[in-house]
Amino acid sequence: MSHPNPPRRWARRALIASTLVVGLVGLSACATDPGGAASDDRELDLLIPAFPASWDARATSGFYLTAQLLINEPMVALAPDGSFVPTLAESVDQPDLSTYVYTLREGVTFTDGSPLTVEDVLYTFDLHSAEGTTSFMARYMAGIESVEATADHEITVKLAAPDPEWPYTIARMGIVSAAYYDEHPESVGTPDVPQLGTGPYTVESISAGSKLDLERNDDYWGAKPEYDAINFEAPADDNARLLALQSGEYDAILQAPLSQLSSLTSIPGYNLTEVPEVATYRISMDVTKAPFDDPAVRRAIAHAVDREAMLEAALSGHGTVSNGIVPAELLIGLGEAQPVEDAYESFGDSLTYDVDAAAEELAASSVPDGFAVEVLVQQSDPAQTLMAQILAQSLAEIGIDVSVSQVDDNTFLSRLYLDKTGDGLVVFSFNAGSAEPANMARSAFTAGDFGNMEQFTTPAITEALQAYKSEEDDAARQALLLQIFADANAEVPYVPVFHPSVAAVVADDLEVKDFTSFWWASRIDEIIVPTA
Amino acid sequence: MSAPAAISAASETGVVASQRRPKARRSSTGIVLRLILTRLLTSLIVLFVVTFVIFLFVHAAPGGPELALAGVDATPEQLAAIRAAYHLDDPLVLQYFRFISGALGGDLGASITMREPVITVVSRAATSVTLPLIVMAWMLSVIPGVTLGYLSARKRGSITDRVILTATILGATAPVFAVGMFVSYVFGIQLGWLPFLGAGDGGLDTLRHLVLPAVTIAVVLLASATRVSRVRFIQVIEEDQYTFARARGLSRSYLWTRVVLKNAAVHLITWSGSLVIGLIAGLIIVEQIYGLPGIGTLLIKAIGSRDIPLIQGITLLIAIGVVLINLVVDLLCIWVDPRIRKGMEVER
Repeated sequence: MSHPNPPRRWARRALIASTLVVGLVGLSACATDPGGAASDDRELDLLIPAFPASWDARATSGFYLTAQLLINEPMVALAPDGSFVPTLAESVDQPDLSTYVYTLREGVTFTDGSPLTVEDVLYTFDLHSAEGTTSFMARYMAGIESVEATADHEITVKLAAPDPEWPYTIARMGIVSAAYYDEHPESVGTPDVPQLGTGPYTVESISAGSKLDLERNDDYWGAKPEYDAINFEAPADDNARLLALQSGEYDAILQAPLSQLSSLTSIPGYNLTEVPEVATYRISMDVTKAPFDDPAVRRAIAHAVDREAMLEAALSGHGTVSNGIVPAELLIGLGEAQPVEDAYESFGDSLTYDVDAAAEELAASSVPDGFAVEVLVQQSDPAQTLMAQILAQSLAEIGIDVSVSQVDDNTFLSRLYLDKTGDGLVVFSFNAGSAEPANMARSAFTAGDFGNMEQFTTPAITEALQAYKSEEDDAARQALLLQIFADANAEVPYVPVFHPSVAAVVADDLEVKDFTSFWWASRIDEIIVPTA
Repeated sequence: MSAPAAISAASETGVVASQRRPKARRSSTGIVLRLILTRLLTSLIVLFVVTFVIFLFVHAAPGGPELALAGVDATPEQLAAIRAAYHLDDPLVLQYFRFISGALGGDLGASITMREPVITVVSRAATSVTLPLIVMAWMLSVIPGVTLGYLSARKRGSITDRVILTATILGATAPVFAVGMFVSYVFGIQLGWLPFLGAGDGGLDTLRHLVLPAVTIAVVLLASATRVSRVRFIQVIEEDQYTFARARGLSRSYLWTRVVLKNAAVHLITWSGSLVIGLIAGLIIVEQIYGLPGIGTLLIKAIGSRDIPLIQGITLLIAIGVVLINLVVDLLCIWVDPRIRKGMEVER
């Protein structure tokens, strides 16, 4: 009888196996805790909702910019208080409404030691505006007529028409190194080729898709940045985010999910900062699609939307019910409060929750017996589903049969925006791309824009949007925007429901300064500062 | 798969003579080579079918990578330019042909959204997170599972047996996300022993970050590991060979190692191979819970952004992984059980 495996070998294997188990346990026991109270050693550990697929300058927008702009500084930055601060540009001249002359600061270097030149700025413009670019900012760059180096350190940008959005666009455009991009075609921003910039912070390490560690740029031309390091993490799971904060290893959650605020704020040692977001949840009706092409149907639906209930159910009240698709405060910021308040109050007349009125409107419409409609909502945003369910209940009372379909973002966008194959009724959430007061209005009323889910515009509105661009007087701008919203309100293409809050939950030993809806467009180390 | 129960129904400890076909005596190398070759050939067909089906699914889904790449502010011209640049408007057959011919040459293309070669992205996720996690979770379920199965088989019907079975079933009936929450709360927060978010900074730190995710998977799998091994051990104990060996007065340790464990081995290896394959689905959830940038997270992101080359690449590599695991299982069985390599295998 052969014995290819003598009994002892089994024993030996068992020994190896148990050693491995002991090793694993030992690994945990000898572990040292790398975290701790971050502000003591002047590190800032932040949780943000998500990471971009790549840190290429073209692939970042919105809150991704909070990290991107620390690495790649813009020529002019948006300060947390809303003012513009020259950074890589020493000065900006505006000889006429559509021309900007930027004088570059001298002696600025990228973190690899190479000097910043006009070539880098021109290259960055080209990255975002070249034909076929993948840049998130391409639409904002579309108005450029020419960008030229007009002197050694001078760049002149001519726009085809005046654009109040331009300074905000420039403040979101971090300057990249042309030489570095040439050296690594199509791979800058990946873990192996991290971004290179002139900013106050530089990439220390990236672990793909889950962590980005920045360290202070010791050769930064400006004032020494507050923190030695700023580290970003983006847990995909709600529970993980909650536990992460509970562990005490993180200093703040930015853009905290509103549904989790009550749990997050119950953690001792953290404070909540909550401000209105320039964003709107609205019920959109595609005015080109039957039966929503009938104003009576749209009016019926407007009366069937229980906005208070939706805010409570979807966001536990962390928001404000609104009569307009932009927060009134944004318009008040341009001038007097009274005209805005009066206008918003009058918009409310068509938005009262009144099922009887809704039934009456529907009876007088082209579909008196009701109809069936599929409402698409984004899976990624549970608030939309809750709102759609409340809407379905109210509409059922007047004979409209709503089926709610949760789809992923890509399906949602392609069906509603590209292919227009939706049924015409959508629970839509849309936020401003910049702090420019007309940003949302422009998107909501421009034909073909994603923000114009209703496919609604009128010649008067288009004209007013155009006039806004060359209007320099803030009060007049306010009047133009109010006129646009009044025109739209009269046709009821949408039902504004509420503006959500934007929230940050921050450790007690830190202070939050000037937190706004556009916190990501300014330096986070100037927004979250150690308590004096 | 072969029929492991049938293979190991007899043993080599003296009852080999009862085999039905002892006559087949081809050279072991020949048999092993033939097995590998057959496996590889059938695998190629499987892989071909998998890539084709996934390709059709991806293209049937609404939307495309251009929206993820350029965002909602993209102009229609911009989107059209991106589609053209990535040949997304070409006929499907042509696109599939391009993918397959690339893949045959070892080139899976580049991820559209991540701007890196698919191979780079996938191997980073696999080597830094998913493979170590699988190995760790596998060890944490199989080693304690077989040990517990051994204990409860040995003390069949005793209180120990009952306690073990109840406890493991409790773990198995809990959903993965609930176990994850519990494990990270207890060991991550309350005891503060181990990190529970992200994959750390590489090396030992990453291994520390993978312990709790691996434990989470293991808690769920432990029950089946324990049950399967217990049942198999008991089966062997009830066979004549065990009674015979016992009657010969062989030592207890000899009985358990040479008779029981060895006879159960083929069955357990086959089963633990399928355990690894079964792990893959659970991995996706666990990677999400613990914020791990592994293959599962990558696949979810790739699907969300319709990153076609990345989806194709990941699914192809997962399929290859499954094929390889099956092959390794077969080879291990051959190594452990001489009947297979001597061509005495029955009911194949």
